Amino acid sequence: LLFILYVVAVVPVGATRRLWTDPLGTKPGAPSWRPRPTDPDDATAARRQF
Amino acid sequence: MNILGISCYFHDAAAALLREGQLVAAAEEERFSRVKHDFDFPERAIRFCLDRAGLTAHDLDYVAFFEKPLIKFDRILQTVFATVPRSNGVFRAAMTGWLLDKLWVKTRIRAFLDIPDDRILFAEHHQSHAASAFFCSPFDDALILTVDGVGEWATATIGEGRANRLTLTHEIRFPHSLGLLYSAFTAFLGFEVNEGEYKVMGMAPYGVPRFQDEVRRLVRVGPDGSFALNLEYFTFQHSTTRTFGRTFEELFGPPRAPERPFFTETSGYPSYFGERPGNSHDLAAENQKYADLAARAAGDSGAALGAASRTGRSPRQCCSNEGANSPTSPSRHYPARFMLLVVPVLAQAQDRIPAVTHVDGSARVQTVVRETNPRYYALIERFGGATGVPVVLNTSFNLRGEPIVNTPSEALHTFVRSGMDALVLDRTIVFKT
Repeated sequence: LLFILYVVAVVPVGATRRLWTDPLGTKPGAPSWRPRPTDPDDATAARRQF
Repeated sequence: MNILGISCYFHDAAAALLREGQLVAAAEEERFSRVKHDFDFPERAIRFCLDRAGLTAHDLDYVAFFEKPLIKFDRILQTVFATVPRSNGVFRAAMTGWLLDKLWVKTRIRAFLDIPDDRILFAEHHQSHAASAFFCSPFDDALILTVDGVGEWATATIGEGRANRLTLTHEIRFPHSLGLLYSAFTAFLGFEVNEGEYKVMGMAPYGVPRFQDEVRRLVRVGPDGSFALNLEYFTFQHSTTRTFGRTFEELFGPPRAPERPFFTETSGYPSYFGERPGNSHDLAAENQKYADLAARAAGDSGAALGAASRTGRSPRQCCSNEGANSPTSPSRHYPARFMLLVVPVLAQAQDRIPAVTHVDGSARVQTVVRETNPRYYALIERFGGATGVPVVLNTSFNLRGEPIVNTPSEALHTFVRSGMDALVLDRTIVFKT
């Protein structure tokens, strides 16, 4: 079932997304440190799982 | 305030308990489950911590988990999408592992400890590592650098700590990871990933840098210390079993099979016995200036303590370990209090303590303090009185592949299967006949 799901859903979506995004940053480019987002409400952020 | 920190579901599950900002107990689950690198939810380690502190779960003000599970799950799904059609194995593993177990960590904590949701907190993975290092360090202010395999998305972060504030400002994200680069070489050299890295580290000084140009093809380094992997050589982003690919083997040759000898005619033999850098002692001494200030439990088990420290805004010097019964416990700074310091052995003493003197005349030492380890201190003192050598060799009590013994029965079991001649259990001495 998972294999079927992979073939019919994940592969097409992944292949299509790859046409215009590079979420893993795999394309050659200068390495760099990315700024991290800061959350001013630390107490609320600590309660989130995301 | 009582805060329980928990780390699990990747490797080395652990729990740590802070009371009023002081570490009172910490333990890895493997000690109790007898499963090396046990990553399951650390029920037994949690019970140990609560028992040691004399608390029940209802006495806990907060329970802090060492990472943000939903961000990590997002990273895994994004990676699956980005690496189709080769990511089927990762997809299956993610779906079964995460949907059945790892996504429900909050439910698991709530069910096991019977505490309300608003007492369950989540730190970011690298915040947990940073907190375990900074809040247990002797520094009031510090620049902070964390480097590991991968947490949620981050594989390395930089930031600063001031008093009881810790801020990570920049990061490098998966799949660009020095930890995973290290793991690829660990696997290539025939060792188990997340287990054999220390062997690679131990072997490194014996080698000569013959492959610098090849290694530089794997990773690009920016002028600001940032880095990026050349992913043509790696497979960890779409494989659950392999970390490096065919191109990696074309670059470095065939990997070493685990059963083969480490040193061969092809690989060359330890250069240690050949020419060494003329200033090797200076280089070692420079490095060792910082060793005694390093985090004592830099792995994910120590992140349980970091999560508790981070979410609890612990006062500085939070981690005095009096009362904690674990070698993973960090502590206040004390010279060579943990076995992280390598120093030259006096020339006249090298023959007297040959078992702990390295071939270059150095030794990795640890001082034992009467106030915190009175029985161990007394043992060494008596041994010194009897032999004239107030030094003992300390090593972990376990055989290959098993966790350190935790009970008298486990000690006996390991003893009979080992080459040891005698076992001292409290006031009983056991000899083999």
